[in-house]
Amino acid sequence: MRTTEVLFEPGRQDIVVTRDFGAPPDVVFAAMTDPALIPRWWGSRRFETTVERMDVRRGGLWRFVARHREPAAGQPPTPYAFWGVYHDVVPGSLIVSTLQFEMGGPGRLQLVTDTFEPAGDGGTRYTNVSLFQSIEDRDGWIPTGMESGIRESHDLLDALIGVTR
Amino acid sequence: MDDALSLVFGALADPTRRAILARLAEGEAPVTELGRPFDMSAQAISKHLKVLERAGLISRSRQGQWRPCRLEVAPLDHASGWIEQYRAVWEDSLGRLEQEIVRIQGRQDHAHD
Repeated sequence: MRTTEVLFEPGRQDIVVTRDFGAPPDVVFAAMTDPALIPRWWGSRRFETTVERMDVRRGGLWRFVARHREPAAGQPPTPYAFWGVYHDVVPGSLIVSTLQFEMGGPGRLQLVTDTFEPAGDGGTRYTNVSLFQSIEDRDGWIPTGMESGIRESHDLLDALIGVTR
Repeated sequence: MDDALSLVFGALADPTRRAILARLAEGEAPVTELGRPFDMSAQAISKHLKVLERAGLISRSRQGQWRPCRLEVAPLDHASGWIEQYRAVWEDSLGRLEQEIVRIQGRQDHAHD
């Protein structure tokens, strides 16, 4: 079974995620950048993701909205919106983009670097580096109160840690 | 953000404080002993200890002048739980992506038949 590694070191302002795929880089890249597939894999499975925009090219915008599949009784699910700009796109090998959580307020964002490298036997090593603006920003990305039992904070936590590309 | 987890990560971000925690993992120790390996003033060490205390990573006994420091592991468990949860969501998500890739490749192989 393939596993996902997360490197989260104290004192740094990035989070590095690595995973191997059993398909070549161009195939993994194509699947990851296909808007029709996003709702099938992106983010936490407890959320339904809607792709409002996904223009995978230099200067292109993306915006996804995640809503909890089972919102609190009698309430519509809170829409959690994420958006950003694609800066560099090299098909089959590299995506550099920004990511902003709209509820997080203006001026706070991450620089995301996705790389797709050939790995033994026709596979791919996928790496995602999320670079935050400061160490505090990275460590505060997931708000605490996650043990508070408040539904909304769980939703928010899920939506935030569900951000994957 | 001044929440509990930020305090823990902030406290862990410094090598001196990590070394102090490593020492305390072996057992409780008085402040004088904790400061010994470092070329620092007692005041600087005391400042580091305050950061660790505020993050809940150490506690200081009230007994006597000796007042030994002790490692508190609960916040570390909380922090590692956070990272594990982050990893689990990624694992799940990229696992579903892989399923999609397998599905697409299966379809392509079928088309080539």
